[in-house]
Amino acid sequence: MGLLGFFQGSPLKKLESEAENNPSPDAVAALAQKHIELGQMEEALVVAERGLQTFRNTPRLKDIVLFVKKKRSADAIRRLRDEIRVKPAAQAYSQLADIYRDLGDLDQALDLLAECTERLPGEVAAWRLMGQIRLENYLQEVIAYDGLHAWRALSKVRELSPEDAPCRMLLAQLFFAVGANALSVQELKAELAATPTALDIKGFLDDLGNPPPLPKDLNIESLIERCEETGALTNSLKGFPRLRPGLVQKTGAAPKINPVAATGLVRERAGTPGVLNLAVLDREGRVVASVRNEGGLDEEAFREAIAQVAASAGEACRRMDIGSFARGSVAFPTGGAAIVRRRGTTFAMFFGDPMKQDRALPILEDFVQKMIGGGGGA
Amino acid sequence: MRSVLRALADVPGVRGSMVVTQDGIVVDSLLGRTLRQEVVGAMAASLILGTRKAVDRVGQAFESFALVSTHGKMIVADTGSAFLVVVLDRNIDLGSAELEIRSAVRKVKTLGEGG
Repeated sequence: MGLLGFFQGSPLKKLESEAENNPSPDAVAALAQKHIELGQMEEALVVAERGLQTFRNTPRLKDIVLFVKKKRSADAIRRLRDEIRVKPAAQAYSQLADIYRDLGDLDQALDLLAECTERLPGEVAAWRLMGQIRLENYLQEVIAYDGLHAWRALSKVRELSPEDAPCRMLLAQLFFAVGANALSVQELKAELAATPTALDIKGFLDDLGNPPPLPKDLNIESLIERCEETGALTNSLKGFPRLRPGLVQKTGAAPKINPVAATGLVRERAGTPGVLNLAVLDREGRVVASVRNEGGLDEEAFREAIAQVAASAGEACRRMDIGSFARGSVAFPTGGAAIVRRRGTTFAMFFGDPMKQDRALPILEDFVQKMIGGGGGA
Repeated sequence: MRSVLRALADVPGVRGSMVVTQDGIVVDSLLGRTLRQEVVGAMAASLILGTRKAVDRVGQAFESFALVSTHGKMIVADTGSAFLVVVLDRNIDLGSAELEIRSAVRKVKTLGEGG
């Protein structure tokens, strides 16, 4: 070992020993970091990925994995971008989108696929990948925007290539997740007819039986939106054939708000200086809990105003295709109102001096966090 | 008016902006390729009307509405004779765009007053 090797080896050996004898997220991250400093990217990646198997979701280890993957992909990204610039081809788009997806940059992946489908509208693979990414987002976050875009993209694949098998399975997943079981069975049966030896599909179909068709007043769009309202998928996809391994889904009932507990918390928070009204409204705009301080608005008038604003905002977001309304702040000359919408519930605050506009929304979000926990979206 | 919207278009994260009257008539707009003028205009007008009705009922006047959705952000600001509507990317921090938007509001207000 040369002199440099001696100096390199010693701290590295110590970190290796620490990570082996006293394994912890910090010890593993420190070892991975050392490998990076020494220019040993592959070793860093191996250490960090192995660490994540034990210490799942450690932010530092995830950052290290992402950093190394980005460095590794830099050349490929550059080459593919040049290819697309000179001669846009579906394969280059898909490869680049896959790289971004692997890096966790889904927005970039989706932007690329959108550009591909604009330039090459008959490109089935791009539509399919777009549908898949949106579907996976929807299964995890249950945000209607993703579900609706997944539905549109996969419908386009169906239009361009009616026998596309991967699309069939993705549609089957979407239908089942939102409760359109009969439609899911239809897709699965079509897939089974195409591949009669698919025992996994056969077994699943046997369990499902013959579910009734969708009522006439329901469609896939309304089912997708309904899941967002409740904050959970109608059916879990656990055991669903051909589901991508490791895909987390948001299933289970949305937390119910206990009105008595809510009233207590509302009263407690209403003591914050500057809070004039504080209210929690259910999905139908009815009061779950409400408090009015001196100088505040009549409670019913406040409820009506907030329900109207939330409804207008929700409609605007939907029609402009920017997703679901999550939060907002309205400024008046002498104060303002802050609104947060989470899992179909509306939380609203009317405030005046000494509360300032930039403090109101964080205070309200903190209150929402205490009431129903974290999570974004509507 | 167009120079104000152009300046806004240079702000990172701004996808488009427009000026609409209180009746929903689009005075001018500069929107990114994914936004359609008739849709944004109609929705902005509906949002303004709905919000004004709501706040009028409680004896208030709204100066601005900053709205965050799961896949985008929008600011609607009263400039006196019209409203400035700015649509932004979901990842942009509203605070960082606020200065430019406030400046734009002032300029549109001045233009509206014939200045």
